[in-house]
Amino acid sequence: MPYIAEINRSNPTAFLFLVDQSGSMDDKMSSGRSKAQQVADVLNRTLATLITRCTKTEGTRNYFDIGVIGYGANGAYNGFQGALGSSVLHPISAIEASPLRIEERQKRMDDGAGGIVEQSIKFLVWFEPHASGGTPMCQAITKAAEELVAWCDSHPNSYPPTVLHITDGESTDGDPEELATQIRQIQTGDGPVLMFNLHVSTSGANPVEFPAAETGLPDAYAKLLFRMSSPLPDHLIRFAQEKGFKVSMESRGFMFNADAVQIVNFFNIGTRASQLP
Amino acid sequence: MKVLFAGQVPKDSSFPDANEDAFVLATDIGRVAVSDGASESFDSKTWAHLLTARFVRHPELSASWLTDAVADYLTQFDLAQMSWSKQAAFDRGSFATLLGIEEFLDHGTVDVLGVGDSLAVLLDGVDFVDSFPYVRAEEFQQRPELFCTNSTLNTFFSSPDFFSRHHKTWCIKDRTAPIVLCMTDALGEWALRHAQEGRPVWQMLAGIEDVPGLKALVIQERLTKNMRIDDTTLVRLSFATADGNDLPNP
Repeated sequence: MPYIAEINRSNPTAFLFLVDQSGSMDDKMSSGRSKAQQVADVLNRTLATLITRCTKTEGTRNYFDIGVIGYGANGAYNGFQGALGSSVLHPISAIEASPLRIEERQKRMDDGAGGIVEQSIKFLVWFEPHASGGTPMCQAITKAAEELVAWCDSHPNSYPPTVLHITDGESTDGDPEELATQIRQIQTGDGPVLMFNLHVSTSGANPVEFPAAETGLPDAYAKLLFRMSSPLPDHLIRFAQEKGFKVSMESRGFMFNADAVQIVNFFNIGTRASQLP
Repeated sequence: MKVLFAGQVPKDSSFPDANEDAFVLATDIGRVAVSDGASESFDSKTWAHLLTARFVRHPELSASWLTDAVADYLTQFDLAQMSWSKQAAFDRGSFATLLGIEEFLDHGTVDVLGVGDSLAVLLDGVDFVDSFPYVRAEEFQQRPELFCTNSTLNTFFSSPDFFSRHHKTWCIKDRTAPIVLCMTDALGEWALRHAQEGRPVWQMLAGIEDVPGLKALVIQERLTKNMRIDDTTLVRLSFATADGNDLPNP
């Protein structure tokens, strides 16, 4: 039975983010911010969340290897810079140790008396927003496949890697569907790579989470990304149901204009309290 | 109450010190506590030790019980000296189960407090009588409510039905050979699943004499993917019979 390997330091799993940084990602969302800025914030927050989950008194335990592949005007490239620029996948303790900077941001919070207060919070940045050029999605998936073949070879007992692909849609270097099928065939002894596709759009259409069919999806790009997505394995269906998502045995790892952070929370490191999000 | 066996097998033999299960045996006062610290926590090992030690000293949980336990935990750390990631993990909290056993000789009963997914099983000899807080293996698939060092996440503790959901009394005075097994989740799930499948393992668990025996069982079952890889604790207790004699190990 696939996807039963425990995630631990001897057998970590991997998250590989593929992030569209093409020119169209400069379009503004309803928030007034560009898709590229929104995606960068979500990704940076996701990395901080993952690090927090892995951090104990003695430091950050390497339950996860993490990589980011950006793609846009300069082809497909390592999305990390600085100390993390030398390779794509890094143990999470290396990510913890090497943010590009720590920003002070203002967060609006309930003051407990019916009002709103602004509180200063630390916001860590590893990944910068960019938006230019075409959308070499095939090149990015090919680069991801190269990374994951090597990773799976060196981690045969691990829970298989998860690819989280964030894009606004249209590939400009060919049809990525067959490549997505191939990446989903790369595997460890515990099962094949899981591919999640997260479609960001300025269309204003309602969010869609884990649909079971492509009918009803807003456009051809969304339908293509649905077909490129892995069916949800049983344990993720169960977890999604616990979290209140309407999912079925046919649901796939596709989201339209939804929050990517919640997906990484689907991967447990041992028992997880029900009080945690 | 007599401890027939108490032992642990860590989840990762490469990191035995990272075992986050804890137990305290206070048989002189008829109390035993077991706790399973959740992996996804800043310091669940310390939290599990504090909870078990507090239970055997103060088995009656009150409003201040958990507040004082959290206060004890907080005194262990200096937030100002922590990195950003440790501060964030500390703020998120540490989580642990608590399985508390208390014998009442006068009543011939055993009280069980069960928060989270650590399991107590009452046997008569090697025959299954009852289990608490779970009775079916499938229940281990739930994400359990655990005691947390972040007090805002302990609202379930002040719920009016807390004690009805988390407390049970077993009458043992009329049992021939009452035995209580205390197990953390990987072993508990394995044991209930085997019982459901008509292959009870109670005799096998009742026969474990030493830690190498427990380790051999756990490693074998992990290798065949029959048991989840997790820190594993087993405590086996026997109780005096109606005629006042302690029982031999069945």
